Amino acid sequence: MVLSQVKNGKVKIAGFLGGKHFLKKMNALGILIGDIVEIVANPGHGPVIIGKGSLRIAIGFGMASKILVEKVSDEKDSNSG
Amino acid sequence: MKKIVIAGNPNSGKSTIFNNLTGENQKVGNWPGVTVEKFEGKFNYKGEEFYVVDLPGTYGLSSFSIDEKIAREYLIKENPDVIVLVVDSTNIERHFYLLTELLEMGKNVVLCLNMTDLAEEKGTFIDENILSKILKIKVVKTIGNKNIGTDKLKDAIYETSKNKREDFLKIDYGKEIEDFIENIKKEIKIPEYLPERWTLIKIFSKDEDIINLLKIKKEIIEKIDKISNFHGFSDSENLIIEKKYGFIRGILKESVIQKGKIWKRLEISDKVDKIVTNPWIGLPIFLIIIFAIFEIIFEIGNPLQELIDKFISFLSSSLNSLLKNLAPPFLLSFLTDGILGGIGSVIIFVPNIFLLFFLISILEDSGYMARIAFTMDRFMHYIGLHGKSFIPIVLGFGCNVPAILATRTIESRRDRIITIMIIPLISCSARLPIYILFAGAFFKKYEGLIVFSLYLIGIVLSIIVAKVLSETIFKKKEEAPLVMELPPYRKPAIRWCLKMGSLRTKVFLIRAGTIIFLASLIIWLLASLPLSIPYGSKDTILGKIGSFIAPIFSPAGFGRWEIAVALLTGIVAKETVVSTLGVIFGSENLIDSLKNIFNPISAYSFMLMSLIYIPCIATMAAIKNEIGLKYLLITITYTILLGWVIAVIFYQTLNLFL
Repeated sequence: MVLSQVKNGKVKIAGFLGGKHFLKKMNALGILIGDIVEIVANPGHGPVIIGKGSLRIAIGFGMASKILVEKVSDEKDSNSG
Repeated sequence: MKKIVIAGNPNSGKSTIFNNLTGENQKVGNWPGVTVEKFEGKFNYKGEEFYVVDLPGTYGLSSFSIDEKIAREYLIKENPDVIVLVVDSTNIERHFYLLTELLEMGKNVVLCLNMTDLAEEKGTFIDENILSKILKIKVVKTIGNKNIGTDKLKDAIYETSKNKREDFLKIDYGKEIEDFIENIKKEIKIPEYLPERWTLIKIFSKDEDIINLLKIKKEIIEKIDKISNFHGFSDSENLIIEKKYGFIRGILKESVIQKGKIWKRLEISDKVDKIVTNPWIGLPIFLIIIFAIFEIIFEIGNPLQELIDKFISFLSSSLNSLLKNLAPPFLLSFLTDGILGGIGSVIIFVPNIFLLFFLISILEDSGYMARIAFTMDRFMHYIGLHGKSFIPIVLGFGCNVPAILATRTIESRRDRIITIMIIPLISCSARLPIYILFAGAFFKKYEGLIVFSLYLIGIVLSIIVAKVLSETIFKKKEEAPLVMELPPYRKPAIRWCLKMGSLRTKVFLIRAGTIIFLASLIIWLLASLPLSIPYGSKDTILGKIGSFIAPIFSPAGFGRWEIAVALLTGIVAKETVVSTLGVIFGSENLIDSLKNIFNPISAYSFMLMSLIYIPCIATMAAIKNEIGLKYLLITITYTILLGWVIAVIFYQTLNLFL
């Protein structure tokens, strides 16, 4: 599953398909593989905003479809993909 | 005098700390060779003078972006006495990444934990004493926007500046990497001025600049790749980053306590973002904000401009009547048309430019600027640009000069160059008088439509040119990943915005002002020589040049010297086209004279030419300042050619059919 497909809830970052620069940029912004992030906004075609603690990162739609994620089972969320 | 540098991530509150330290004692310039702003200031503490430089906000010290390159070159070459690292305490993990780089360099660092009030509100409590003990540096808590902790920070800087730091931070990168580094140390001679440990790590990270500088051999690179592949990383720098974060997490475990996780401020911020970044609601909101800025700049700015204009005319006429019998007419014209006219054409821009910079600072400081890029990004992508290019283009409708200056918010140099190069195609308010004159004379009843069509043609051309430029000479090698940090929304600090507005305006006045002034003087001189004949008439140098180049415009339907002269003087400022025509033909029967020379087709062709042909002097000065002479020359050439070609095609095609 990729980040752009997730509308809400929390996910675990599993990997980046976007090349080494993309990975570096995400790392520089404080998002690492294995981090659990919250989907703050994902309108569908626009940017996806993710949150980690008080950090908010906006990711262009194209890039958001290059981030592999795993759904983290929340209290409400039983669906794991 | 001791040299102090303020470093930190973007949005760490760096500039506030810089302001708190230096007070009003600041100036703004540019980093050598680039147009990234450089802020400098001074303060005194316990009889010692401290010179402070605010580095550009960076996440690390790689050779990846201009800002990071500037920062690290400065740190290596200037070797400051103390680096103050400003850290956002609400997001300490990420901000500590830069700390590991600085400590690895062996620099004297004072750690400034900023926004501790917000962190504590959120339940994050940091023990600065433990941090200080682990890192062996001074740690100070501050609340920048309330000016709390500034004296303690000054004291820490003062104490730290007295001795050089002896021990370099040594993160353990694991046996393979450490062994590799030990071997490299024996093989390669690292220049004295480069910090050893830091450089070795950069070699392992395959840092482009360091690899080139030290001429690292292929075999070594292969060895590096082997080690990182073994650890499951395709790129060695990412392995180093991972290790650094591991180290940071270790420190934070010992020094930070997290209680609860409720943070109201962010909840509101998140709700606003859900709305603002929604494509259906966000776009209208964005357009309203841009429209409001446009209105403010020109509703408040234009009356002020008129006032300045009136004041200059008043000065000029009083000077005229005062010196009429004392000075020869040439000297008088030199003083009024030349000097006063020249100065006038510069300071007339001040109200608009100040307002623009002020409002941009508000957008930046409130956090909205970061969101705009995303709202417009999808559309701008079609023409090969970034969402951030949209704001300057819209501002170009008012005046191209502030529009070009507004491109400073675009990080990518390529995007900036393309954006600046298409801005002259956007119809600024100075071109409107030309359209009104000609539309009124030749297209009665359809004036609105005709003027609108010219604005539209400008937009369409700018889109085409941007598309062509981005697919040819500026073809992207790799798409820059569109990822950015969104700072939480906050109430903008008006005082800071006013200060930014005036500092940036001052820089513009000094740099662009001299060029505009000189160029206006040259045009004036050409239009007044020889002295015996009226200003701007056929036998002046300018008139002769006009007669000489007029045949070029024949295929476009307006090959006459008067028109050529009008276009030439229009280079000073586009609205001058109208006043020059007025001088040559006499204002009373201007329209009748024009009707003798033009027909509707050639009139529209002339309007097309006026829209496109060349940026005015003020715009040229801004282009040269922002991206350099080379791109100015390219812009001048392409606009002249494009204007001529389009006018000719239009004139010839319509004559063929009508």
